Amino acid sequence: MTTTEVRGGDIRYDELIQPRRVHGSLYTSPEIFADELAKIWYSTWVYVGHVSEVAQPNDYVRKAIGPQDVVMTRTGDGEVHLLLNRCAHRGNLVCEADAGNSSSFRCPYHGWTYRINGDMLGYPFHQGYGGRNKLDLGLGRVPRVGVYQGFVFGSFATDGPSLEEHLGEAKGEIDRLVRLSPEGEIELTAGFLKHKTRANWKLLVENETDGYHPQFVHASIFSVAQSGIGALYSEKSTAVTRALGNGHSENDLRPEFRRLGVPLGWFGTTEEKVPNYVDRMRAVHGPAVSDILIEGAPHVMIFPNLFIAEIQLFTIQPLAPDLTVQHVTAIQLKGAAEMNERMLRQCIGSVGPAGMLLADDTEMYERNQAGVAELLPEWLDVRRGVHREEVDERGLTVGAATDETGMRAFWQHYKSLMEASR
Amino acid sequence: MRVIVDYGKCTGLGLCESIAPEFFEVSDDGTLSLLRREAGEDERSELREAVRSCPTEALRIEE
Repeated sequence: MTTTEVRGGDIRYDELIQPRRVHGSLYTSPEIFADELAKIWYSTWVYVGHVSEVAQPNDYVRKAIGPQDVVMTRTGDGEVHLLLNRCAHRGNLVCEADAGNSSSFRCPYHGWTYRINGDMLGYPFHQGYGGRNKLDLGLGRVPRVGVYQGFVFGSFATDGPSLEEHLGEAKGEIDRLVRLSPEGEIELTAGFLKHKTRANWKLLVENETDGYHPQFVHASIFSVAQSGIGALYSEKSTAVTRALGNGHSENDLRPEFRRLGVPLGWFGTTEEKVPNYVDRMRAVHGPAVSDILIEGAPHVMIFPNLFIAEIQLFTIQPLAPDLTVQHVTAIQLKGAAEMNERMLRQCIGSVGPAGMLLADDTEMYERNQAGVAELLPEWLDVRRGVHREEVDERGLTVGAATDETGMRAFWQHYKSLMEASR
Repeated sequence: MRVIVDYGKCTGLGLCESIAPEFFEVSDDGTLSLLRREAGEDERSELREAVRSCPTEALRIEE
C-alpha cells in the first residue's frame, strides 16, 4: 500500500522505525503482522485474564493470546492453567462456551475427553487404539504461566525474562490499582464487552497513553459529563507521560490530583458519597488513606495488550493487520460495594454499547487505518515532546502530559523484539 | 450411592471405563459390564465423574 515495499524475511525494522517517525507499512503489511505474531504474541508475556474469572475449582473461561483461542481453567489444587482450544485428535475446537464449570472437556467430533488441566481422560471405542490409556496426547498448554496480583499472563516461549522482569516498573502501577481495594484484591467479574475495531492493534496501544487527543476526540463526553478530565491533558497540566521500560507506559495524573487535593476527585466523587468504603480503607491504611484516595487508580498500558484505564480494563486482541478486538470490563474492588456500583456505571457510560468514550477512540482508529493506506506521506510522526523529555529519580523517561513519550517507548521495545534473531 | 445403567442408551463408548475401571468394563463386543454397583466414601467423586462423562447419558446415580 505504501511506496516502500516490505518483503517477507527481509524486513528492515531499523529503517521502518526511526527515533522521530515510523513507517506506515507497519500498520498494513501482512508480512509484518505475521512477524509480530511470531516475535511478540507467541513469544513475550501476554495478559490473558484474571484469577477472579476462574474463582472456583473446575471454573473455566475462554480467553485469547492474540488470535489463539486459549481456555483458562482452575483445578482443584488451586492452580490456574492455560490450555489451547484444540483437540489432540484432529484439531477440532473442544471448548464451546465462553465460560462455565466442568471437570472435563469433551470434543464434539469424536468424544475425546480431557481433564480440566489438559490431560487426556478417555476416548470412545478404545479398542481402535489397542485399549485404554494408550495415547500420549493431551490438550496443548501455554508453556509458561505467570501470575502477578491475580493477573494471569502466558508466554509461548519456554524461556526468557520472567513475568516480573517483563512487568518491571509496571508492577508498581498494578499495585496501585490493587491497593484501592480494602482487601487488596480486584475482581473482574462484571462481564466483558467486545468492540470490533477495523484497525491495526498498534494504533490502539499507542493511543492508550496519548495525552494529546482527549481534548479533541473526547470533547463531547467531557462536556456532557461536565468532567474536568480534559484539563488534565493540556499544556497547563502538571501530569506527566512516563516510559516504564519494556514498552510499558503511563499517563501519571497524580501531580494534578495532589495539587487539587480532593480524595476521590480522580473518580469524580467525594468521600461523603462512599462512606463505608472510606471507613474500611482508613481501617486498613490509617492516615495514609488520604494520599491513596487522592492519587487514585493508574492509567497504564502494559505491553503488548493490557490497558488499565483507572476504572476499566482493556485487553487488546489482534486478529489481522486491520482487525483488532478490544475486550473491556469494569474493574471491581473486593470489599468496596459502593465503589463497584459507581465503577460499573462509569464504565458503561464510557465503554458500554452506548458509551461515549471508546466509540470516539474507535472512530479515530478506523479513520487512521483508512488513512495509512494512502500513499503519502509515508511516515507517522512520533516526535512530540522529544525536546523536553527528562529522566526521573527512577531513571525513567518522562514527558509532558500531551507528549508522545509512551509511543516512543512502545516502538523502542517493539523494535528490540522484532530485530531479535529467533 | 449406586450407579444405574440404561442399556438402551449405552453404546459401549467406554469413557466410564477410562475414568473408573473398578466399576465399568466394556468388552470387545461393546457390552458394558458393571463390575460393582455400590461406591465407598472415597470413590464417590470418581464414580460421579465417570457417570457425568457418559456422552449418551446412559448412567445415573442413585443415593
